[in-house]
Amino acid sequence: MPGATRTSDFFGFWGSIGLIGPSKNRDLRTADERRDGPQAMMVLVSDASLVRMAVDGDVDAFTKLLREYDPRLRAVAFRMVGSQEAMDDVLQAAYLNAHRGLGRFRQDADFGTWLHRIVVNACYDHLRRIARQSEVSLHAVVERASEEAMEERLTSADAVQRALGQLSPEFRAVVVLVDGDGLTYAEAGEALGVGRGTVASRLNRARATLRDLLSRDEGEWR
Amino acid sequence: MSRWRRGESEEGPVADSRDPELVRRLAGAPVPDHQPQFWAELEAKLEGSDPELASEHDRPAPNELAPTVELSDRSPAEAGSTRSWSLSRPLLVAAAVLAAVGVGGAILTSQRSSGDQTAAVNLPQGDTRSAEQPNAAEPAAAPPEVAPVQPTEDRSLEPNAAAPTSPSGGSSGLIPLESRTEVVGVGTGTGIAFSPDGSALIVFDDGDGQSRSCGGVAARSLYLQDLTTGQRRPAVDSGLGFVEGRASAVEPDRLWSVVTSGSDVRASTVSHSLFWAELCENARTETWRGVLGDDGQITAIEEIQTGSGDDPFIDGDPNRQQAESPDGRLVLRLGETITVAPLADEVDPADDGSEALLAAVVGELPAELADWSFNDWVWSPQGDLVALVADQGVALWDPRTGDHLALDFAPISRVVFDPAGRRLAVSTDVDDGTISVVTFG
Repeated sequence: MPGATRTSDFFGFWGSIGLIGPSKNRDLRTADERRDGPQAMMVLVSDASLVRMAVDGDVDAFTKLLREYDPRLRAVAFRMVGSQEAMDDVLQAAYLNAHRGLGRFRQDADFGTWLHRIVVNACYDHLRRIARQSEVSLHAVVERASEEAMEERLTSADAVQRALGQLSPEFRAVVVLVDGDGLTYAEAGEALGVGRGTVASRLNRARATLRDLLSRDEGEWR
Repeated sequence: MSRWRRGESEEGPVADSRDPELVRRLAGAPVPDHQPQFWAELEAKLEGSDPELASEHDRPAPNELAPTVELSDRSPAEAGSTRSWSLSRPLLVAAAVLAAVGVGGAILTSQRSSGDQTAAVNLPQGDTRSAEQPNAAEPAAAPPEVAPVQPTEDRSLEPNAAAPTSPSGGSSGLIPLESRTEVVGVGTGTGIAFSPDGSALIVFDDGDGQSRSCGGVAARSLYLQDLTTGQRRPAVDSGLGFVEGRASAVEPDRLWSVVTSGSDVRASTVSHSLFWAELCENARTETWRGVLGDDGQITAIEEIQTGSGDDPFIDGDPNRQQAESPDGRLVLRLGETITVAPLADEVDPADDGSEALLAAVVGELPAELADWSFNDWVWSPQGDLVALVADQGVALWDPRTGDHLALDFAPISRVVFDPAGRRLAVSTDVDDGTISVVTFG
């Protein structure tokens, strides 16, 4: 984003450390969306106002923000937990937690990344809780949920959800965020609370495992 | 510098990449809409939600531009956490200047120029717990108190009222627990068990979060962490792509180590003769018991259980709502709160809250922990302490006195007491995972 570079240069050192200059937008668009340019930027400006209003206690503004991010967060949550019911439970909890934590949200930080992180953590918690309650593997939990949600018929979409369900939550998360949601490694790392190198490492292994699982799964079902 | 320029790495030349096939498949996978009542329910909850409350999910978010400072001189109680905090450069400069003029243990407070964000760093010697950061969650637990070690007595049937408690629930100077935390290993998804003599930890380390299944831990390598010398002794490095297994010290005089891969079982042992293994494949569990000879070679192996998915290493009912102490004298119950009562005065768990149960209770969850979301509990081998595992951390709890020690570890993957019941090993999933040993006696 050349514009961002120029802005930083213009404000010099103090701009580079974020003390002066335009506040940083929550840029959680995919790479494709970023290339859209002005239209997307208008959304960002509008969202910045919504964030300020939400932090000031405006529930309607917060709900509007949630509805804007919800399609992507819904996809993340569903791919992580594997069923509509669990997805809704996770997102309800995550959105409420986000609302409770608004007072501590730093407005020059990235709201989208912040929300992603809360949702992913809620997914982790959900999967752990289920695993602890039932004392069966996470594989089984997600696989069963996937089967219930997707019925018995195997399609390509089922296969990928089934394969995702066999990954550990940590591996599943990187695939969902990078290959599914279009985040960069850095963005995914921030959402997951890990370094970029960890994202890359997990992605390599997760993709290899996924490819293996998909090829095996499809072989069995053909 | 823009952080978000695609393909540009701040940490190395490796460019981001996306797997086209996975991208295509994921894009084609349907995502259901919410259930019809979702938004109405959420909005109703939001109306009644207090934005000021803390949330355990609101963990510190990285500052995009400010350098990240790893506060390495963390307190013992937080040494197990790999949490890092971000401070803007002026704060660091201020901290350095103040430190240079000898303000040891001083409180450094600086106001960000944005005006409405304050980052305060409280740095008493050896303790950095009280630094508050923008977007950081409130501390999940009270800092551990340090108090002299009390001799272990048989107080298993003493009522709660017999022990002195502080007005706040028994956490001010009366806790017979002192804690010192040492990080002894790293790795994601680790499984841990103390050696029978408590001198070492056996650690399953999957290294990269490959998988956790069968209620257990995936293992890519296995090592022994000598707690006396601090040395790590590799026991098994399978070198295989996907291996799973776990170990547990349920038979403290015998168990040691195992690593499994597919149908192969590799075992490593130091001086003990029995090992257990679980093989997990698509949620199918096979449990094996192996006997090792003095030379470390397998002399016999037998299958114990296949196909149930139950975890033989977890004592009692997998869906347990209660757990007996190891000496069989007390029972911990999960009801509307957590209570401990003499097992001899068995009360129907359905009577939780009844006079009969209340009369029998020798310990009730301290009020300070009432908001914690507990997932598991582990009795110490001596039955005098319980480690309560929650989303917020671990609480060591003496149910007879109400004394408790909140330890800020989260998220936690496994907690085990040492055979003497005076150390707790905790593995967490923070960042790349840590394994810590908390010494409290």
